[in-house]
Amino acid sequence: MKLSDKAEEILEAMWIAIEENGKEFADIKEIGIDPEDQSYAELTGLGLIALKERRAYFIKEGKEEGRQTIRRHRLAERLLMDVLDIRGEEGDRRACQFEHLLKEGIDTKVCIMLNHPATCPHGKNIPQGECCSEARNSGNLGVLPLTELKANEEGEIAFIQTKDSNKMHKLMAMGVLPGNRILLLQNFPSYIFRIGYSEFAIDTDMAREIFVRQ
Amino acid sequence: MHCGFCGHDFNEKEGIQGCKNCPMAAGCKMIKCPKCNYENPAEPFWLKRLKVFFTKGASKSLL
Amino acid sequence: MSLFRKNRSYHAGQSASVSAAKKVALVGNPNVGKSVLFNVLTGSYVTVSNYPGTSVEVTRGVSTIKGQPFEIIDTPGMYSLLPITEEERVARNILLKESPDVVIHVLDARNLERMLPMTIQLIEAGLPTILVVNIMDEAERIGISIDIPRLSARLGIPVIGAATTTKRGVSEIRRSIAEFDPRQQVNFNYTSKLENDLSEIASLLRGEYRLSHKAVALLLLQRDNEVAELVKRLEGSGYQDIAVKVKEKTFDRRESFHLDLSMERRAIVTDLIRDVFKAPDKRKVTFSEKLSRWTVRPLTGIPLLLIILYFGLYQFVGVFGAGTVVDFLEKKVFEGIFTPWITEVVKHLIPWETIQELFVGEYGIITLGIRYAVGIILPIVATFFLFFSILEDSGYFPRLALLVDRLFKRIGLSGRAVIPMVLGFGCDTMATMVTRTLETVRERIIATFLLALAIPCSAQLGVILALLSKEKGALFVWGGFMLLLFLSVGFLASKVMPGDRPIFYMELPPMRLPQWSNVLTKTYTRMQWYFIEILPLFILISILLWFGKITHLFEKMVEWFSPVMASLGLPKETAVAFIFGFFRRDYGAAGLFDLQTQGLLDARQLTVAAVTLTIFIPCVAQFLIMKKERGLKIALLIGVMVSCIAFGSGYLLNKLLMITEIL
Repeated sequence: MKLSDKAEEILEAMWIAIEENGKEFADIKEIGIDPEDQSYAELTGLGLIALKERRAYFIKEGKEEGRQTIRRHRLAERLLMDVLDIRGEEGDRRACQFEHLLKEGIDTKVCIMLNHPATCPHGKNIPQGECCSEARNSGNLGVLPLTELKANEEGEIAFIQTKDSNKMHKLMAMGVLPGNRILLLQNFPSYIFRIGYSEFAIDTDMAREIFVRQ
Repeated sequence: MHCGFCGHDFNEKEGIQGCKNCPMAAGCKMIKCPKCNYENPAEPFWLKRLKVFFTKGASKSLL
Repeated sequence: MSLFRKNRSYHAGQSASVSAAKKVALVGNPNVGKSVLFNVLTGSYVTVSNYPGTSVEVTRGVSTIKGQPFEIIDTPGMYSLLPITEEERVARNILLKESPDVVIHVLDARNLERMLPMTIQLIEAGLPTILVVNIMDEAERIGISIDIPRLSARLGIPVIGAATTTKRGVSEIRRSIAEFDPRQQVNFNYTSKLENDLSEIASLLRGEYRLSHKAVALLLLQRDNEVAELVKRLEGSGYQDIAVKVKEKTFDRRESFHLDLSMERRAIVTDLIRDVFKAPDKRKVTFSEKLSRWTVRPLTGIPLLLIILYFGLYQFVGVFGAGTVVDFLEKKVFEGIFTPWITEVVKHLIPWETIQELFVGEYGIITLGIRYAVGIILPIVATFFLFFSILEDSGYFPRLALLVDRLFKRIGLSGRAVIPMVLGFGCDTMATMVTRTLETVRERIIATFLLALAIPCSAQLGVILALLSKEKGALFVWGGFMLLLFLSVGFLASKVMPGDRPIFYMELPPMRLPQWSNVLTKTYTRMQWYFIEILPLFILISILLWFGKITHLFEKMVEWFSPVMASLGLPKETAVAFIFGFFRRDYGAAGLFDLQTQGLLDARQLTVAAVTLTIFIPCVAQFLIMKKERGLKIALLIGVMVSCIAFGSGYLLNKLLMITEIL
């Protein structure tokens, strides 16, 4: 569904008022878009919302559409902060522009790239998309540091993230190379893992630098 | 020889003998593992001779 | 020195033949027994030199096989033809620039699947490769079987199953080197898309490379700068086209080329080892593995450690070694038989009383020096080293290291430092030397300090255990105090000392039942070393003490010390033990032993004396090593701090015990 930017902002404001603040409707005065604006007509025309005496209600697919817009907005916020490192007011402002681009599957890709975040930088929930529940059902957690594995969980080494070539060297000598299977045997007091037929112990600092795909 | 700490197998010649410039009376006969630096005691000479004697005998009979 | 000598003989005797000799390069991961194979092949004609322009050492040697000379090169560890580290770069440069006639890839049979991709790369590069599947004995032990002839047929190169530590397969390796036929090659095919990309690039290459064009193309695709430089040099004007093509292909595959490539190689390996590599379906969880699990889980590992310490150190070394055996040797053998006899003999032979004193007097060489060495120290170190060697041979130490790593991090050390600490219970001097192996200067200084301060050496420990176990509670006060001191001083030191957090990593070799031949050899060697080391010192100290006695210097020193002793609530005779202790810690403890036997110390005094003496100044040898390893400034600083802490702790503990009346 192709909506104007303003129409999307109306949906977001309504979704927050109704779904998160528990009201029955959204007061048009509080939405922050001129009540005379034609984007209201756009939304009523599509049968997404209904207006009664300056009160806005979701009807039919309106609620789902609102959910998706809020999801895109908060994903945009995460993307700007986590990946592009744009924070604060600047981040909020850019996120408002950015969210409108995250359509037609791009939101899904962003969501996968960010490893299905649950909250926005302000701590509010990001409504789940299909990709999130799929990932959850498959039990696929994406790429994790070794410290996040439980004892007796197995994975494939994705990459090693260290600036210290000395450490890199030592890890490589233990067979910690991308593509190898790694079985975590114990995580306290030290991390013990098995690669092939050999067992090794490392400390938390090193374990944090090994990234594993499950 | 077999390192007592990390289990690395190495040749005595590879091991690091740090004790040569040690100020202690007789110097020690420790051989350090090239991998983990653990100090392993060297086999005494006579024991080595004994082992060589036996293994030589064995391999000769095989040939 | 010995290296230098070998060097010269090598050049004098062999240089003419070396130039004509064929070259054999050993390549492979670290820790697969490459160096053992190298030594087996070469014997003693070995040179070690830095590879030009690097700090990486390369070892070369000569071997004569079937009357033909071969130069054997032991390359640094290598995981793939695409280098990441400097060592790998050097290893590849040897392959590229020195054009070895034979390349021997050594790998670990247990990890065949993981290491075969490298073999594939070598073959693909057109290098004259022999594969040595090493560590077969261990692999077979855990139930792995490898069909070597079939693997050889599939790879199209000679493959030899070996266990180089027991020389298995070595004669076959020598034969393969001598009879090597470089023509046998098999092609491994990637997916058609990758093959197309590679051949598009390879078809543009005109130059003569040491590696096959396909391998060069593959390295170009992996954006290997060194190879790109080489291609630029060799191709001249043609390089432009190649660079464009490579850029185009790498861009196409930018998302996951490395991943794709490793997947494709893995697929090839999977085909190669089908029906060749058979591992037991279910890993047999052996008893040694179960035991290993128990030792590393805190819940079971810590009780297990305490049990080991109780039975090993307390019961075996303390009660049996320092108690039963010392009693027997001291009382029965020395006091009962040997001392009276030798005193008679000496008095018979030497008429002068002063000289008699030197041998059989209060501080006589025989009656003090040798009695201490044989009667008190020998049984204690013997039992300690036996206990130590059993633990060592079972593979327990790495597990101990990982168990304490978290705690040790708090005191600025990594778990690895448990080795010098454990060795310190043997001999602090030896342990101080081992601190050199810790990764950072910070760790070394902290470890040196703690060794000097809170770790009693085996002889001292044994004697102290024997002393204190006679007084109920004294042992616990002593033990608790030392542990508290160790942790709190370590914690403070780690706060004061600047520097990086240490890192900890460690391979866990399988645990095994200690082999008695190993244990006895190690115990024997350690004891022999220790004894040769201490006996002259004990004799020397006896002479010094005798000298001090006849010149009355010694009595004066005891006088000087008596105010210090008095402030600790100790009789002035204890000063003797402290003066002994400076020469050797164990000697000092043995002196304390003597005092207690004479009934001069009560429980409180004994505990205070034991604590002070344990902390007090390291022996002369340890001090010298400290100076050598850490420099005079730090050694002196540690010495002064240790002395202050020793007497300070003694003073406080004495007051504390007097007030609380625990003892």
